[in-house]
Amino acid sequence: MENEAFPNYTQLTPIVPRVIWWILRSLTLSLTLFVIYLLFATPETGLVLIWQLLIPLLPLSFAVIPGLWRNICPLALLNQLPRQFGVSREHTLSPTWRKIALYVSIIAFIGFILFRHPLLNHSGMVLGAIFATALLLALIGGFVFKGRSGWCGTFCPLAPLQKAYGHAPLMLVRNGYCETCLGCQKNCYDFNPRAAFFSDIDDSEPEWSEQRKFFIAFLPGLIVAFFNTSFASQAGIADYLQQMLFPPMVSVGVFYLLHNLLHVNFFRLASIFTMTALGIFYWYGLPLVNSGLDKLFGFSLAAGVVELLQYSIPAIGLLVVARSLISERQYRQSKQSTSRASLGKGVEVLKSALSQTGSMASVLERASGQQLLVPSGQTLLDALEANEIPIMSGCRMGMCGSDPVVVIEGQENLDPPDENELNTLRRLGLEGKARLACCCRPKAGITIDLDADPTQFTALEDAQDEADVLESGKPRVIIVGNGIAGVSTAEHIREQESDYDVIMISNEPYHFYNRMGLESVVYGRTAMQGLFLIKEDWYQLNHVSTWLNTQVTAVDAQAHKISLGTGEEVDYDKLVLATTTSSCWPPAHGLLFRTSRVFVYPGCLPCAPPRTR
Amino acid sequence: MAYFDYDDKSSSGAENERITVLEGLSEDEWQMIIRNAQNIAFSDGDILLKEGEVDDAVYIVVSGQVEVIGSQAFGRVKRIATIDEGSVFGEVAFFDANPRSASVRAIGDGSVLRLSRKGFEQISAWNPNLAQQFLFDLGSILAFRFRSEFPYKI
Repeated sequence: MENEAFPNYTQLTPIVPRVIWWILRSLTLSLTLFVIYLLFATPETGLVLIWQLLIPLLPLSFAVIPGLWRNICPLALLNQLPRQFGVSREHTLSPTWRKIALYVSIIAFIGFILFRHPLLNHSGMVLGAIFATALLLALIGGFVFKGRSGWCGTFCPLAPLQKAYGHAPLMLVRNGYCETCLGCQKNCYDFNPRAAFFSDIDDSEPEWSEQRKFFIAFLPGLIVAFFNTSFASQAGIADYLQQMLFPPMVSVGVFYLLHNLLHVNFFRLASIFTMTALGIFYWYGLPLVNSGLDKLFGFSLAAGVVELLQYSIPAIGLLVVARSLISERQYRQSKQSTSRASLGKGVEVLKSALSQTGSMASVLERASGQQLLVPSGQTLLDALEANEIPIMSGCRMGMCGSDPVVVIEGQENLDPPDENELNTLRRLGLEGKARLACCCRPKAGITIDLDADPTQFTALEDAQDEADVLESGKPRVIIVGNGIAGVSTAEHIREQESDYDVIMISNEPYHFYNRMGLESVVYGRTAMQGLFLIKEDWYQLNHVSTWLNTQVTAVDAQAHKISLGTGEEVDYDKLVLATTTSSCWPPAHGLLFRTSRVFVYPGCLPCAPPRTR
Repeated sequence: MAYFDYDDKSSSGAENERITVLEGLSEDEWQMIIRNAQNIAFSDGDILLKEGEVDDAVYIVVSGQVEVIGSQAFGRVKRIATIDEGSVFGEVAFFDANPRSASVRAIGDGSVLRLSRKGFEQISAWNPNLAQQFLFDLGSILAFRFRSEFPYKI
């Protein structure tokens, strides 16, 4: 991905043949030597040529096609000669010296500008000497240090300016010097021209990024000051420095204020500031270029043309800012595109460990949309609970029937229900319609739905009223208690005999429910409705009359009668006492148990809300 | 992301970009972790973590790729990072149990191993040495992040 947005030079196709580059390089070197000669021989012409014609060409080329100058710069040529001839000593510039080099280049650049008015603008000899020295230093740098680290990317005073103006090149040019990259510099501009600026600004070393920000912030003010100051020796150096340095400091202040007050990020600020600097430079500079043309060649552009050019530079600047915004987005995307912590080779061990645990059956729970992998041998109930998918559970062995699950797809990937499960399913009226999660061990993919209603009963045909039961004349079985014992009894009676009336009497207000789940009601995690283990229909379908809220107060076994709390008496043929257990207070005395913080629950009645007994 | 992928340690992005954790665990130790974790399969677009939700589990991408997405104005989402196979995520909430700071969405099919704090407590009861190593390695992720966020601050 980074290759498309931020290609390094090895990923760019060379367009210009090497020989053309060498011709251009020799031309610029010859031109430079000629200019140096002019500066000494006819300083007037030389100074106009350099200041009013040649130098003004550079900033625009840096912004539009920065790679051009980096390939044909005479200093770069001399710097690279030792390498081309294989005589470079190829020392490595240490990280500390790279930082120092950046200071040197920035200070040299600003110093150079400061000396223009007092000295360089009118002393051809000094300027010529400086150029000659620079050529010599570039050559020495190339002789001592490897790659382009001896000058181009480090000490060259124009390098920070090139990086700033060329932060978002409108046109890329492949680095024509480095046949093989020696990795000689930090965030090398010649290696990756699109990414270098962003990497510099974003660098984690403040010594690296802050200098550049400062330089860029300084630039517009410096240019304004340069064009609005003149050096009058009688006014004194202090005055001159004040005029030259005050605007840049204002510009630096504005830069950081915009960041701190308006939260404009540094990429954008830097882009806007460099392009502002470019615009200002040509705003003041173009009329000077025009007069330079006049002096040198005796012709000048019409005022309208100059004005048009003055306005067209900010337009180019806007293009660069737009390109920079695109690069910024791409930079952020690719910069943050991967997580940083990983298992390394450990992931293979993990995968192999996972495969050791047997194959995983994938289970899709349709109601929540959650997909889980169930290790072979694990029950569906365990897997659902492990994945924190809410499901009721009771005995966990297929007896209580609290966890029926509708299997929508993949029934064949489950073993057929065993006897216990089958009996429970029959009791629930769910045979063939659902499975019990605690009994299913998926062998391959299945789809379940916890919200689906497993009981799709046919409409009731001849439901009887409770009153009818007493007048039916059939043999009558009374079951006292509607717990598991009572319900199982009713179930077994119905399996064998349809011609009995079965009446189930309970002193509780609810049908058969899961007592083991009462704790969830106490803690408010579920309502009583969630605990019912068989559908209300079951009683009617199986012709079992249930009398809830009914207390049996006495049994007269002789007369085959029971007495109810209401005073009524009811005859029976068979009586089953299936009263469930009730809890009692542990036989400890006093202190330990009988506090207001201890509860026992014998049934559901005291459960909501919990209270003391 | 290395823009300067030559052998130069000082360039941006060339410094330690990634940290490797839990690399030396044996298969038995992974078995121990797996027994107390959940292996969750996902398919493209599944939301594995939801911004703002409270969940104290740490995740390991066993296979496939997921992305971290942050919500922006007008219901748009923005990809913040992608997480590749073998990567660890969600370790911050594993420690502080605060709401998730971003959502994680699946890119394509795959599976993650999810270890909740409860699962971890189980591991530490059975195998304290493993638990200690696990904690140290998760802690090293936080330390790594801290250092890369604040490289020069005390």
